[in-house]
Amino acid sequence: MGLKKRIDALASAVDDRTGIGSAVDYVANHPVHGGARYAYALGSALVFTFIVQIVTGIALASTYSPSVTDAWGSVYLIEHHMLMGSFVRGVHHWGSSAMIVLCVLHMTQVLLFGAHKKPRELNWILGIIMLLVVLGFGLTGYLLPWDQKGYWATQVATGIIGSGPLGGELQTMVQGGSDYGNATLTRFFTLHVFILPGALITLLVGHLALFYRHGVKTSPRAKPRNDVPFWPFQMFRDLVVAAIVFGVLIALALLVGVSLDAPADPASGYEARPEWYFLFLFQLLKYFEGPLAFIGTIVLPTLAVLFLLAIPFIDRKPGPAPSRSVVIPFFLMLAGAAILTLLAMRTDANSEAFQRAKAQAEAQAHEAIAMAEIGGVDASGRVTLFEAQKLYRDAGCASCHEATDVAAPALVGYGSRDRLKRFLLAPNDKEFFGGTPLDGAMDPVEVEGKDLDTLVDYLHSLSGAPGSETDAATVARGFELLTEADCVDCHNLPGASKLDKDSYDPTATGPDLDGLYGFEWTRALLRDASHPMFYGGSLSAKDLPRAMPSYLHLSDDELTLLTRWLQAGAPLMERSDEARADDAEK
Amino acid sequence: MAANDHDSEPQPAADQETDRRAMLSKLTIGAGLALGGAVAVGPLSMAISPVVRGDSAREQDGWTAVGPIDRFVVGGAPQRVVLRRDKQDGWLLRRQQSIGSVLVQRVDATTFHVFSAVCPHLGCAVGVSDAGDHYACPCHRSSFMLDGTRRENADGATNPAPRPLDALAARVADGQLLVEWVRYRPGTADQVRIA
Repeated sequence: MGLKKRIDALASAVDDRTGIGSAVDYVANHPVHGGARYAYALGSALVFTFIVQIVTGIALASTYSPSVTDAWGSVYLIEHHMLMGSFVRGVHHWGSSAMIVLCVLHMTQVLLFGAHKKPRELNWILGIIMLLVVLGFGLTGYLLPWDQKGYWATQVATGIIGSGPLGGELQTMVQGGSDYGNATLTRFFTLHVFILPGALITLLVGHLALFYRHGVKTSPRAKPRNDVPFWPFQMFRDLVVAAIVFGVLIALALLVGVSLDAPADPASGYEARPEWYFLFLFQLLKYFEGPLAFIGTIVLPTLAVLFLLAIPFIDRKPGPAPSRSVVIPFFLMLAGAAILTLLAMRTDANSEAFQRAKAQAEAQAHEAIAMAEIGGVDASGRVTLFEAQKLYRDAGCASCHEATDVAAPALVGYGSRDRLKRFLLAPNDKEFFGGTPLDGAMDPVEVEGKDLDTLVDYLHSLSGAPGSETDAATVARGFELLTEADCVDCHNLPGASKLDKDSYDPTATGPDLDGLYGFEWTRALLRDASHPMFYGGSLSAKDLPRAMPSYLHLSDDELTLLTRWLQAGAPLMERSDEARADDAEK
Repeated sequence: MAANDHDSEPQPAADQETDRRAMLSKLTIGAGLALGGAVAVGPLSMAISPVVRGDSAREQDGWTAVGPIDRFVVGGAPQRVVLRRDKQDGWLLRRQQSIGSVLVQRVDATTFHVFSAVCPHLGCAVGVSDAGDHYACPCHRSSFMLDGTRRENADGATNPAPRPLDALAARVADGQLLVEWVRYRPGTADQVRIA
């Protein structure tokens, strides 16, 4: 056993110099008065859950980026692309709920065991302060993904700060400005990952030191057993409870998960709800309207905290058991919070308007993520295609292009080779001009076989979009085909300059082919489809009201958004849903 | 204290108690390690995610426009050109970001010699010499002929490059020069593509 001897020698050398072994021995052999019990495991389960929060929090922080442009995108990357990212985020999210539940259980147990009484008053107070810190974690963490849910729910919280004494200044300080922005995220992030953890760890050290000083307190009704050392008897029970807690967290993370709403949009309304453990405060607010609101937001919660802090001093009853003078109000408070929470949940469950808003928020979340998958998040933090799709609806495009009673071309696959080919062969099909004022304006192209593919490849390449490039032979043959197929009769050819009277005919009825489906062409078409450069030549005055209206009122940025969306093939949700179903089949 | 309890009990029971404590210790250590491992799985998976899932630069490689061919003169001095393309960087799609630079020399109307400007020695940016007759790296005196092969330094200084410049495929389409941007690992005698 030469090796074992050497390890022992090393261990004793390290212990001589650090005292670490004696410290471990002290903790391991520390007697658990009255025997090890599962009942004592709640506190250590809290410590364990806090460690889980630290470990998962570090993993999340190694990807998360606290800025308005990056927060949503980085959480989206964690949730939808990183290995086990969704799981880690789920554990962290549900871990916060577990902290609250365990805190309340621990607090209740301590009270029932009379462990708040002399000489443990200070440790009770430390515990209450720690509960507030844990709530602070939940509040600050909710905003960090910078999604609709977090953004709007947190507005309520900072609004409450603003309604209190010194309100305006305090709110500006917390937000890092008069409105939400980058400084709000960096401040909340700093609170969430530096200040609150630092505070909680410091308080925890004090809490544990006092706990060591006073030892455990058994239930006043428990039968006393022999003292046992902490290791391994109590540690084993602590581990069992910790494992159960973690098992529940795994199940919640995998089965329920945590949603990521659409990116925060200050322009949109949202039925904001806080996390469930704040719902009782949310409900309380409803009973104190107008000038009395501060009673619900500030006075009652403050009184409740003061009562909790005062419990050890109110309870003067001799002996180990707690006094009814604190137990009864404590349980009334707990019951009150529970009833308010249930009321808030029931009101929402029965509210058709809320359920509709909730379903809409879910649809938006689903759509934002599908669009981020297709077109990414741009450097200003916008999910460009998602914003474009919202604009597509707001600007009224959908009221024709997705309507059943109005004829308008289908946009899905815009600019793609396949759609172009279908269009050339059957321009008057219902998918394109059929039923519109342009019905019959264009004849089907009478080119077949290899020539048809060459023509399609050539026309497709005119957009200059990535992936549409073709070779010189195709360009040459394609250009010839435009004449052979009589396209030239109605269209100005690619390369025709508006400054050159010989090559450009301003009275041509068909749209210019130069840059067909390209960025500039598409953008100009969106602006004013009735321009002679596009369909103006084919439309009579009486057709105009039924034709596509001009969108001269859209801003440059809005036109660019819609153009990019069309160039991405107008990825409507129906199509991405199909694609997702296909993926699921594979 | 536990020790006092033992003293008051008969010897065999004390042995049993010691055995029980030893076994429970082992069980606790095992359970603790298992639980710790379970907690670590998720965070560690996230840490290795770029290795397993591919990194954010995955879409950078591929055919990239260098510019119109007219900007390169047949037989003229080579040029270093910055390549720009939309870059998926972590969670953001950054438009027209520079992704690297290439050394371009036009040999005749349709033939171009294109090399990656990443020095095969340690990855510095290779440039064109003042006279335009060879390529030189400013960091450690790597030096290359216009055909990309290693070149002896005129003053006899050691050329630390382990291999010639990395040639990139080039083609012309619609009057534009396109190159296939590929990154190779610096510092190796053989070309090793960075996947």
